[in-house]
Amino acid sequence: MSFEQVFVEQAEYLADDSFTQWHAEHPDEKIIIKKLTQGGAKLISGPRGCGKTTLMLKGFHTMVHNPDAAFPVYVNYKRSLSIEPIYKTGTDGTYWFNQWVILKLYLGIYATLDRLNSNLEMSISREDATKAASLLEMSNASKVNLQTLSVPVLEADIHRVIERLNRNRCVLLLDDAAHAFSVDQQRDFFDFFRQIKSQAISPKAAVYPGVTNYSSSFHVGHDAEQIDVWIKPDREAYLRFMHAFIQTRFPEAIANTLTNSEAIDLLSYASFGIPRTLLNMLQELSIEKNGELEKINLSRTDVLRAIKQHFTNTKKLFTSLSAKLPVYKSFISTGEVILSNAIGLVKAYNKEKGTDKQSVSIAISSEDLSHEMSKVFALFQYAGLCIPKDELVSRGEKGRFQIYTLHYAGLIDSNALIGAKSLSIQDYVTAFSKRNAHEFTRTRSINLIGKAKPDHAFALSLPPCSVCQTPRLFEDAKFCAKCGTPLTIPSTYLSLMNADIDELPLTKIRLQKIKEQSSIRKIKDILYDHEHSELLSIDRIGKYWAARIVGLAEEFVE
Amino acid sequence: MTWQNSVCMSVGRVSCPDVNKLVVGVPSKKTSAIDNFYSSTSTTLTKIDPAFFVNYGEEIAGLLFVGLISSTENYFRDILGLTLTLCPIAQAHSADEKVQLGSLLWSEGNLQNRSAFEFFAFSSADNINKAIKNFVNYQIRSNGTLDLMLREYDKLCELRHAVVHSGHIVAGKNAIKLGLSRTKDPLKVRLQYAELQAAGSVCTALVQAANNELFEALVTRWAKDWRALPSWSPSEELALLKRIREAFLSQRDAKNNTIGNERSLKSLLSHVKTAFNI
Repeated sequence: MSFEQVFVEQAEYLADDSFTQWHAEHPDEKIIIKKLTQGGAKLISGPRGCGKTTLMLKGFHTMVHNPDAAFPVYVNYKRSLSIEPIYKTGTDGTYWFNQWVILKLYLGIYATLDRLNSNLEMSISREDATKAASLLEMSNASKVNLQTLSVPVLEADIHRVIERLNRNRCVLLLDDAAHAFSVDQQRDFFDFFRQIKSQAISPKAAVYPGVTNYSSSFHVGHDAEQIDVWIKPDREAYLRFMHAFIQTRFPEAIANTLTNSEAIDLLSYASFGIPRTLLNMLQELSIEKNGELEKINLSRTDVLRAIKQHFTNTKKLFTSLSAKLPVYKSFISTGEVILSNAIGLVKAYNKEKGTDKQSVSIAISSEDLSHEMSKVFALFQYAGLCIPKDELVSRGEKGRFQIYTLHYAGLIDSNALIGAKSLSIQDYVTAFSKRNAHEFTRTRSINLIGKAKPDHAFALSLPPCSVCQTPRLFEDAKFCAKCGTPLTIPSTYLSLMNADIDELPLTKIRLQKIKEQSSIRKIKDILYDHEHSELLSIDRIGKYWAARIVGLAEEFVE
Repeated sequence: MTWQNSVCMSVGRVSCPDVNKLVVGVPSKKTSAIDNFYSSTSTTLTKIDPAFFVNYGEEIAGLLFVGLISSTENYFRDILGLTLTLCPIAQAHSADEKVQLGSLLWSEGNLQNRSAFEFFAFSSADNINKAIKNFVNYQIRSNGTLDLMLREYDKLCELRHAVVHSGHIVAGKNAIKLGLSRTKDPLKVRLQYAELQAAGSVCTALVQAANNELFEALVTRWAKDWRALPSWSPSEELALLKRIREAFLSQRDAKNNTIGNERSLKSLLSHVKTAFNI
């Protein structure tokens, strides 16, 4: 099996046969798939890489060839941020975004019809839908020549399809629905979601914890049930799941040597419930020969190095949010301090404790948890840096506490376990597997923020007037109070395209090499690099790494 | 004293100040209609310190709000007047429209075409639609930005009614149009600094949408319809395009680099010719 194939990370990029062979069963898979294939609106939630797409595609495959199941439509909305400039140009963003959402759904319906070898004409032809959708993705709304598509028109078409195919209902699997960080788009999307749901049409959307903005008329719980699919590393079934994931992905001979290793258990814990991360670390440790995977190097030093590198990348995913959510820039820089202080507090707590009494969590009194502090922890969740306990823990007179489990790789990176400097892999694994859930480090917000004053630590970063540089008076200000110029918020998409490649989760050495040996400086330079020719001219970047770097750049702007 | 004087004081007859002192001549501006709008709305939105609104918000913001609508109405008078001056199709179509004699008798020079709209109130979407249809012979694009913004502007116009005619109290007719729920007590329009800004934003978006859509309509006529008229003179082709561009171009937006596709006259000419295969 080729090296490249084994390490394809995202489920949507796997070929059908690989997809069927290559995935382990989520511990709650039966319940989740049931919810995804039956009636009702659902939101499937979890950080990047936790397996949302895999579950949605499994749901799709379960339904598509089963005549008794619903008619499934899978749509990936990951390119939604490329529509965002339309919101900024004065052209009616809400209208065009809505058209794009519907166009993509039509394309999804045509794709399912193809799989069923069924031909059915709808209100818009596949060619027209493809053309209009790609024009909108290029912010070229003025060139779209389209009869307005509406939710009732789409509903009528879906009803015709399910009637013709003799299906009882239609399930819309809307992946990466809240992928774009544009608040306007997310609100418009959930307005659409609310409108389309009916007895016969059940939308299911993938969302991120913490960062998804719902429309004012959309209420999670009432309008859609939320399903958390993040496989928590403190679950009993956790290691079993990760081992099964490796077994399905790697050739048998290699997989057998891996799953019997304690280093794999440590890597599994360090991946903190994100299978994609485990795959990434194994890739860092892999040794290839002639394009084929030969073995995985599991020496202590290399395993710890891969974990440290992974934690650096996860933190980078968090800090890169300041480009996607520029208003929260100070929240993110304060968040870095909070994370470091939280790990420091856990480290101090663990120092004198036995292996079975190690803490991996911090607890903050719910009274002490400000809205701003909660926002920071919500942003941590998006990046997969912490897991909140679902319910508050009561400690009698001391009050009720919100508990956050910190990223295990962060704890390993900072030697926050047991208090010894040189732990064996076995010590780490024991500390994670034998730890007591009742051990957590109680702290106050003030201890986490450090010296910064709350007002300054959580100031919203609102862009000043572009003409006279007068600061905005309030978040929703429309005009400069001094010169009267309309205030605009620059396009996040265009800012991301113009961001430095340093924002990508690549090693310093690799970034330095790219800058030294090519003219690539910005993210857009990578995306416009025709057939990866510039990237391929750089030392130690072959076809695989060029494609991977392009993938990271695409992910950065999507 | 009679019983008739038993309810309030009365100062008797008072004269209005000399009307000549109540008006002042202002030089007519050479700026485009949209820049005139920007200038007047900027004044409305920035002349009063935001802190002032905390104490006097409702009264002052109401008046400034009316000022914003008034600036919007003025934009439509300006731009439709200019369109009538420029476009032979609009002229032919509006030839049968009635104009108030007083407006013509008093107006001079540049004001003549604008005066056609003196009796027209642009304080409703319906009126704007009608004026554009009747005088320019242009149907606003269905579901386009202008169409959508007119619906938003209409909401402001309903509220304006309350501010202008009934001391901020919303009349039943307006409440129904706004879709407000019935209440026992009268509803009062409440505006503060942020709401005033939001209203300004709606007016600005409306004017920008109208400016873009009417510009597109006139350039399309320049490229297609005007050429078929006996009055068309190929040698004036560029001069006519220049006049259209000047009527619609915002110098302020050009200066602030906030025009999506800013083009020089030469580049505009070449792009339009390519687009219409001229």
